[in-house]
Amino acid sequence: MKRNIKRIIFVVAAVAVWVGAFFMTQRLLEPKYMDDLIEGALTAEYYDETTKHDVIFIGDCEVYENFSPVTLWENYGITSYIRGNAQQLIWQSYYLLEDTLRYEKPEFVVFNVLSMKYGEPQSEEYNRLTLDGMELSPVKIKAVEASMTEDEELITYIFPILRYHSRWNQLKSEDFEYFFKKDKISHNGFIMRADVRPATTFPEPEPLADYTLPATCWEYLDKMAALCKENDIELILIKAPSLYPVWYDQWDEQIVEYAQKNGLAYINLLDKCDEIGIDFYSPETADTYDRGLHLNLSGAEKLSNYFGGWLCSNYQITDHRNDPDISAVYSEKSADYYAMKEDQLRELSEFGELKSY
Amino acid sequence: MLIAVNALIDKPEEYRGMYVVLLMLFYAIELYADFTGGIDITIGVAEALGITLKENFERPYFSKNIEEYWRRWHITMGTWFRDYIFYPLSISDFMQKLSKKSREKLGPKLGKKIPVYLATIIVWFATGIWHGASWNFIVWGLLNGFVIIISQELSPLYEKFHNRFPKIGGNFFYRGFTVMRTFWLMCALRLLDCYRDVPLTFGMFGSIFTTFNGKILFDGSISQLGLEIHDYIIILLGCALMLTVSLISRKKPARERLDAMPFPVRSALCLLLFLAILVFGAYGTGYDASQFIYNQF
Repeated sequence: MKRNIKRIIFVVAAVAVWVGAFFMTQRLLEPKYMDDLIEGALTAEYYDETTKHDVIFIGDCEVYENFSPVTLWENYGITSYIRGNAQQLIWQSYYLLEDTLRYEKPEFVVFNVLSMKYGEPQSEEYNRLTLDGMELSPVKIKAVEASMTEDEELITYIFPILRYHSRWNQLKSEDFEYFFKKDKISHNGFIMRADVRPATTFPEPEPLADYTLPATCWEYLDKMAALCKENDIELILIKAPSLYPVWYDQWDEQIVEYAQKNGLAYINLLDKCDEIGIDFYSPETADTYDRGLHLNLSGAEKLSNYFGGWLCSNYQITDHRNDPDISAVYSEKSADYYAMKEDQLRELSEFGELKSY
Repeated sequence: MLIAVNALIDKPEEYRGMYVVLLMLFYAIELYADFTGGIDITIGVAEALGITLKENFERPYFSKNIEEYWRRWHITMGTWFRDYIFYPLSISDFMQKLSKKSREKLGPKLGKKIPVYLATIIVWFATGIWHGASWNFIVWGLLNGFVIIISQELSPLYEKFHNRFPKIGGNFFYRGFTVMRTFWLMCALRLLDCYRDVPLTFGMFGSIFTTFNGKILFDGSISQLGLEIHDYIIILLGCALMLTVSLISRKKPARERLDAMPFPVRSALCLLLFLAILVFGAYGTGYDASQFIYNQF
């Protein structure tokens, strides 16, 4: 009897050691996205949130570079989070929304419609940036299955070591430094860039043979709208103000028609740049850091101020600035936000460019 | 190893001399690891299902001559050819008649050998064809057959030599020499499998003696073959592991030694092996699991 108990203890201990070693090795070899490709850390950062949010933004870099949740908070008391990723595809937006609904039910979901132009999986690299950080759940499985390119395998998303095992010869100090805990790289999903690089001219957009947006995208937009309706969430469609990639009028018309048909709000913020005060071209004060592809900090703050005002004018939205618990959390967030802003401005003044960001 | 092997094979005009020696070595490692690894997986899976399969490799690179090599390498193929081609052929009516005629014409000593050697050539011809219906495999098979015949013809001489110098046979360095001799002989024959072109193979083998570029071993050239230094270190460690297991298995199978170890030690060793395969294994994006060399056979 004693021998059997001893054997059972040994086996259980051995299994625990094996599983622990497996997951520690996996943890070591997974990319940390702390120094390079920080966008890869965006998805997972959401799970550290301690408060709920009135507004959830979903979409690609045109949301996580262009909206400042701290500005929305300071000016309107709106709590928000940006669940954005580089080249986030619409099915990924849908599943990230489903994922978000496992934790909270926002009042508003704001979706940037640029991803409506991509009807098929694009690349493993962007898939990884978006999906690796998702908590393992049936929703993640569905997101991965919808996103995988031909060469990819689902098992590598469940056990990332099967994909990243060959990183053993590329390990850097950040793999050890951030083994247990990562630094925050965003401000409620907003990636700050305080530098200025004004837009120049872009080539004339090439006409397309067919402007019809892909059927898959409409399917997922329908699902998104249904999911929001089911959960009593107001879905707002936007086109963020970025000069490139091109957003064709023909695409815009289709979104306008869809929004009208389904009783959804849609704002093309590209048409509102003057009203918002966004300047893409002034050499010293332009509101873009990469020649018009994305807004910089000043552009994001202007846009967020405008958008917050638009939300308050068109909807009933609670001002939480008098809530002590939420205020305490956002006070800390604001402190981090301004500390980073100060640091970025210092680097720009010292070096003429951002070195650490 | 496959990456470096393919790099060397794909550009024969660039990789001559010492590169051919490297190819022989690299291909020997790749082929053995690939083949014995695949067989071990098969044996393991079968055992998990309650079926015991025979070992197919018995430390072939420790062989002291070519006959021993073929008793240790791909054992099932060797025994199949022996049981289903060599023996039936040897005792066939045709061979009996040939044996009688050759003894009459050439004398009893030589006459006795003709049918055996003919059967040997036929078996090796068939072995070559089994690998592929192309001249490189046929020549490879025939060359194996001829080397075996020559080895058998020379064996009285070897016996005389060892009788004259009995201490040499048991000497560690002499045994090491015979192992190395057999190893490199088999590596040379395998070049026909690498280049798949008979004249090219002979030309490339000849370049070992005409192109003197030994410095490539020291000037970083080997890291231009698609593998970095850290990859070579892992390969070296893998080879050291295979060598260690082979050495300790001479007296007692490694698995039996492992089974005799205390549970925590056994578990820790297996865990290390598992993690080594997990981290250093060639699988995933960019790899094709069906690229086992013997998958094509």
